[in-house]
Amino acid sequence: MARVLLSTLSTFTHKVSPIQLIRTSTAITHAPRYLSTTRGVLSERKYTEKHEWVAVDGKIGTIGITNYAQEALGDIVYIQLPEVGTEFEQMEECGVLESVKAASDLFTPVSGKVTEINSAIEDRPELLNISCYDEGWLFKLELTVPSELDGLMDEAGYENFLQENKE
Amino acid sequence: MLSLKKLSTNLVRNYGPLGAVSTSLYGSTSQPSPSRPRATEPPKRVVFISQSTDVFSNLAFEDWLYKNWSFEKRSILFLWRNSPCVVIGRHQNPLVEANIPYLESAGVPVARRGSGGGAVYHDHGNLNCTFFTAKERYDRRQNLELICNVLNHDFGIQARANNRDDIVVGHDNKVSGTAAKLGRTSAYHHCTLLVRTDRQQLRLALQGDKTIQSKATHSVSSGVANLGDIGGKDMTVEKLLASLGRTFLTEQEQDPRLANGFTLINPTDDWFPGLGKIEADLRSVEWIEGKTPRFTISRSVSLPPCLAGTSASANITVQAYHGVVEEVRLEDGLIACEELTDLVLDISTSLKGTPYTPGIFCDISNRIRLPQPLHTQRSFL
Repeated sequence: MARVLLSTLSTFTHKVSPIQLIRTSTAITHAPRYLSTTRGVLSERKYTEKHEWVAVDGKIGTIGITNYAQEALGDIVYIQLPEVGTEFEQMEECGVLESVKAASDLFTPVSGKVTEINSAIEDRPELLNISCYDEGWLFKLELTVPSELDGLMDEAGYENFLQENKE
Repeated sequence: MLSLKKLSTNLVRNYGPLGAVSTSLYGSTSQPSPSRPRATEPPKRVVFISQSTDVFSNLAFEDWLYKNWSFEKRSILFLWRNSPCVVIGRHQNPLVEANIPYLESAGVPVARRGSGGGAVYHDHGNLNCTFFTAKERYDRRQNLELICNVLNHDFGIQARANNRDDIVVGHDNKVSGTAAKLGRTSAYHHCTLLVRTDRQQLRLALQGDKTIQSKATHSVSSGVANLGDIGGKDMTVEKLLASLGRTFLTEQEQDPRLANGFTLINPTDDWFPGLGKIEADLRSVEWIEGKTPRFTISRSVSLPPCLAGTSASANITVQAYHGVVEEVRLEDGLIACEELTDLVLDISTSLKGTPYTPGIFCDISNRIRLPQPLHTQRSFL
């Protein structure tokens, strides 16, 4: 569990030095309320093999891409998000992420109707590189087939998947 | 078309029906990259040559292949040429990148491709190469190295790929620009190669309106050169096409009996069902203008005496998104009389949701000059 927490911390604070990281983890153990909130969000996040994540809160899922994906893409220069109100099926193309390397199609990990898009990221695409799990969320949708979540990986499963596929 | 027929006849005559050279000409093969996880045999290589010079048909074929084929077992090199046109990147603003009034008057089309990157000018002196692979095999550098090797060995041109993945010669003169598209399982990397392009037209065509403020991706302009100027009279698009195709097929020392040779492609709906729809989408206003990111453009508009305060003109800003007007407003910091502020607000409300056209400032200027009750009359348009 400590390993999972630390790996999560490293995701949120990937520019922080190891000494600061130790201090932060000590602070976390003394702030159980913050810890439980973070853990609650984490356990809801599910992952696809194509490095998209979805975090569910009731009927609304927030979609983003993982750290592995943002690193592979390189510096993001433009993000084309779907229109609010559009409905998508699972794995349907719903947007484009343009980086200096290529224009990458964005696919939704679950079916649903788009309720909100992250307009901050439209103005500042670099947020996706800096904070892909937090400020760099892409869009939210109302799930139409919640059972699809069962087919996705949880955090541990995704970590394993990354390890297994490491070249 | 004639030159392609001649080319294919020559290939068949010289290299047999399969169209491939049997021995490796250059003695070196590309080392399998250590990062490739697959130990299975490399994918078969196939070369497609387009018989069309219509940019929309060719872009549609690219998209069709990308969406309909799997590249696990084969990698494709698609070679194509277009009649004069400008091609902008997926998230660019055509007004910023191209001289739209000039191109419209000359009947030169502007197309938007699905990959990223900047704006380019195509004509018959330019060769386009698209490398299709499975997503795991996507490797731009490898493709660019192949091209540079061909230029070096076959034409004696010292070309190299720079850190922006442009191919340059001499003192950083660009002969090729690169862009790419990544999907779930497939990817393509395409690039231009300037052989005998009309550089004067290139310069004129790509002179866009740089006063536009935009979130769109910008082109990075460079000095360009034609390979034909360096490689001499013998350097032609046809010869380059043949060399590239040949090298692509034989690079991995495949058994030449298995090589599939050059295949001529007629990019029409008859041969590739569904291509017609893709082509229609590429030609549509919803795609070409409708994918333009948010931009603002400001112009000075002269005011009639009744509205002019300290200044006889005002800077008006129009904001548009996806080709549609979002807002018309006065430039910040202007001290305007209440009447002018209200007027601009009314104009904004009436123009909101209408398609953006460059003539909009003329329209706004005219509305401002109308007597008060007619300011927002749509019938004036």
